[in-house]
Amino acid sequence: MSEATVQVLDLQKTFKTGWNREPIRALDGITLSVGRGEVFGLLGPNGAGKTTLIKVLLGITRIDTGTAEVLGRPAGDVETRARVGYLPEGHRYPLHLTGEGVLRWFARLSGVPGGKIDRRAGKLLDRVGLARWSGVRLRKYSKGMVQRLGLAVSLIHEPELLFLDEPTDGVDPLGRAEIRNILLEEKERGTTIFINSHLLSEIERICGRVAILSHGKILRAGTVGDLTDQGLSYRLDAGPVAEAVLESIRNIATSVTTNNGSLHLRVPSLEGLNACLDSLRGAGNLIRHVAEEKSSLEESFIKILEGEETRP
Amino acid sequence: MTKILAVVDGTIRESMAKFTFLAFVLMSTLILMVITFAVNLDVVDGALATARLFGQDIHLGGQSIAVDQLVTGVQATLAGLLFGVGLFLSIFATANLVPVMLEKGYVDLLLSKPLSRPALFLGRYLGALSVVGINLFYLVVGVWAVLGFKTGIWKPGVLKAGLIILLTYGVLLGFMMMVGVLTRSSSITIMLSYFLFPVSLFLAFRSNLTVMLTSKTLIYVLDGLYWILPKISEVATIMGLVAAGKPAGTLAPLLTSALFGAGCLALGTLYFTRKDY
Repeated sequence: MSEATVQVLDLQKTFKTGWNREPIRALDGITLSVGRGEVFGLLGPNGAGKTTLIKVLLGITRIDTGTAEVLGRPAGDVETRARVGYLPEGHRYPLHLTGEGVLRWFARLSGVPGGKIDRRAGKLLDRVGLARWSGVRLRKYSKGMVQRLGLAVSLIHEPELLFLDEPTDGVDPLGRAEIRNILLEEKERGTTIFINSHLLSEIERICGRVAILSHGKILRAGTVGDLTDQGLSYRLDAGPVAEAVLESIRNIATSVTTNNGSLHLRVPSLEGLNACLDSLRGAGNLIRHVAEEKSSLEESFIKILEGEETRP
Repeated sequence: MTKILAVVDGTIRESMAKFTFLAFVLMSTLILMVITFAVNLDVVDGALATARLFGQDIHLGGQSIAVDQLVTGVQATLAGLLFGVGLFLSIFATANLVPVMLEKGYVDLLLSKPLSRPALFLGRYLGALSVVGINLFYLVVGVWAVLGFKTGIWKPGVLKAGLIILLTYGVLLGFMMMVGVLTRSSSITIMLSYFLFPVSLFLAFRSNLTVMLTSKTLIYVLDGLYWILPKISEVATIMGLVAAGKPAGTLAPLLTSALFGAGCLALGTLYFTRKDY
């Protein structure tokens, strides 16, 4: 892996809530690393601790125990934040400002010089599709437009690292595709992107690596391919299969199911697949179609979470 | 420094977008225009000979009114009004600055910027102080200048009174920032800030009550509260004297009130700095 942009080791965070100060463990021994230029996705159900982790990395929430570094400096370091962009979930801006006003004000807060703001603001608003709305006050903006503006705000100071918490929340499908393209352009530029999202199809399309978080713990981490790989799993279309042939296939494959005339096989090796095909051909079945099966990230996500819930 | 100035600027713009300040600016402008264009004063040998409002003679009752007395009177009246109405409106208009800043989705954005929490909090304080100062001195300096040009009398009483009003607002703002960060509620901030006025008045006259009290502890508590809490009523008296060009006497109420404001601001900053958001 390339040089780490985010490095977290055994991170713990407990909140105390209510009158009786009941402790709730939001992060429970998180260890992860995100390389420079990587697009990393953090998945998890509501309340898993995804937002808390980003807030800890930005210094908005303090660490109880463990260590966290961002761009080689301790998490929350004030100067380092100038190199980090952030789009929080449900972000709010002063409604009396125009879209361009918001962009300019946050650029100033990020320490961007005036001349650079002049050069970037218009281009960025155009890039997120808000050029025509730049002079309109925010109270007239739709949720999707505020979301796009949020993305522009997170990019105005050309950050090296971008934290996005539900970046496509409330955005229509076309807008989502545009946001995805912008993120891919940022990736090309070398920006490290850390995304929290419920929209697993979005994550699947842009993230190189993902981690699944539940109850403050990382259940699985790896490439999207690692998480969606089911082993050697195939779907065959070979017409009606006699029971005796199925029995011989069951002796080779680890799992055999039939569905609407299709056979779903899970085999230990490619040799096993070919032995199954030989059995079918030997019985006079014509093979019309063979396709490798992969589960979607969403299916894997649900399986992993269900596995966690059924664990004693 | 430029980032703190951005916070100050943002706070000023946020406040000026509110109806309360807009109304105050319009009202101030109206007052200045009336004094400038509708009031005509004829001064003869340092005394007011005739006065006209919208071209109509104002009956002076056959008395000779010294112009400097007139200027002082107008200035003191204006200062008194501003101390009461101005502070009331300023508290109302700026009480939500901290609760708004702490709203989920906004505080996260602000805290993710390369700006320390004390700088952000103090930037907000300076922004609110600036916007009230701008509004206050727009009227105060305007009235002072118009009266000066019309009468040739340049008395600085109202300017000094303006500074005392701003200082009093600064004290109350420190308290509002502390209450705002602790409760995240604009309404509680407004109520507690207004509550300081009658409490201050009561404590200023506590000696009338303590002669009837037998409990030493209660007397100490009242004395303690008097010295801890801002002495708004006594500051108002000092402001009135200063506006009228008279000696202010002791400045202890001003100084101890300023200490209260600074203490509240420090506590609020400390809490904001340590809190998880």
